[in-house]
Amino acid sequence: MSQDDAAVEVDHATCIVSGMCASVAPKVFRIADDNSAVIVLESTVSGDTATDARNAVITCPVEAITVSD
Amino acid sequence: MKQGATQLDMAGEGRLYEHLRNFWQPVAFSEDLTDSPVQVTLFGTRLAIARLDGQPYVFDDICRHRGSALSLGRIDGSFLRCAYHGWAYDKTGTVVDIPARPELSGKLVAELPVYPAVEASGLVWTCLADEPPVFPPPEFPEMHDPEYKTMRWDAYEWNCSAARRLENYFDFSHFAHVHHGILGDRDNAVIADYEVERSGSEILITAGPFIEFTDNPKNASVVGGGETYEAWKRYRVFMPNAMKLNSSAGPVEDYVLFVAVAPTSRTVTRCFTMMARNFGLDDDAGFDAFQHTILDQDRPIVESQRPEELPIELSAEMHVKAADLGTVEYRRWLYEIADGTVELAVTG
Repeated sequence: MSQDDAAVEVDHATCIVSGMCASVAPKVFRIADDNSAVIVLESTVSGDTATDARNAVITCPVEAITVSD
Repeated sequence: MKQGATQLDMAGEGRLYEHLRNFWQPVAFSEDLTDSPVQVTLFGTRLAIARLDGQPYVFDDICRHRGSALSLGRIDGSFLRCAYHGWAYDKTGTVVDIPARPELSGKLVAELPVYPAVEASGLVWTCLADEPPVFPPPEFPEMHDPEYKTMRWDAYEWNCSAARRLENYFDFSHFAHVHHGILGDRDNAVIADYEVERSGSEILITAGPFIEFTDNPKNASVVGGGETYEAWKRYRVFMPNAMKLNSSAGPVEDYVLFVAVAPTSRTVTRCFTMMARNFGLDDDAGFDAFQHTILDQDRPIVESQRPEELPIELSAEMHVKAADLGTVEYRRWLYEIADGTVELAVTG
């Protein structure tokens, strides 16, 4: 993990699987086929992908996502 | 939006529809149930509702003899008597009189399905499930408070699902756009953070301030504040099909809206609306017109929503952080119900 990398985490106890993150950052998040959970595809992100992940933080309706600075 | 999200009759929505049978459903205003039976359709089933010896009874609306509607018949003492050939049914649905051959009375086994019925909050409620409902019927205490005056409107049907209809009442971000100039200001449409919690069989929401306008009966008592007023709203959402809104209309003025909805079918909803207020007691006509104005603004929007039923997956529609918190919580609870979970929440 380089200095520019950021760590992505989802609080699955809070997550309601609204799918907002997967629409904003499809390279980072995916909804499980049975719709039961959000899957983190990239737990370490940088560049444009990190920007997308941070937009997912902003749009998550229950604030279940964190992306480290 | 996921592919298929606009399709109708998806399996999940059907599951929710079936599970809504496990709850009390409103079928009539209590005061409308007097000396004649009333016909109502609930979950596609035709029902006859009759007040016998002072208590409401809900029957399948079909005479076991030739299938005519018992709701066309008459109340005869403690019995419901069919209009076609005069068969009489008692409170248990047993045929007790067959006028054409009196000696058969009480001998033909012709049990008519009878469903549980209760009266609460000015309404008659029934349940079509085999088991009695876990959740109690909703409460509307203001209608019994002498400081409040209560109004009601004839029940009406909209072409939408019950959940879509009820959700409309606590979908806060539509106020500024659909009801611009009355209950909201499209130039001031930001929704402040608000509180949502489950308690018992209810979702409790306290939200505000909402910019409302004062040139209408709801806010006519507001003085000294100019043309707009900052209203606060407290909701009790009675899962899964009713809500009570206390909306401030001044320092002590309380505008209370009570709404209960029942599925006539998956995509047609019957709505019962009452209102109580502790101000403007002489302006029934104004409040009546105000209510119709708001409903006329909402109706084309709600009836246009597709699918007509709430998509069973949250990810099928998009949700706005904080602003949609109440409706998201409502949907989450509905989805638990669709999965067969009917549990009271911990009371806070």
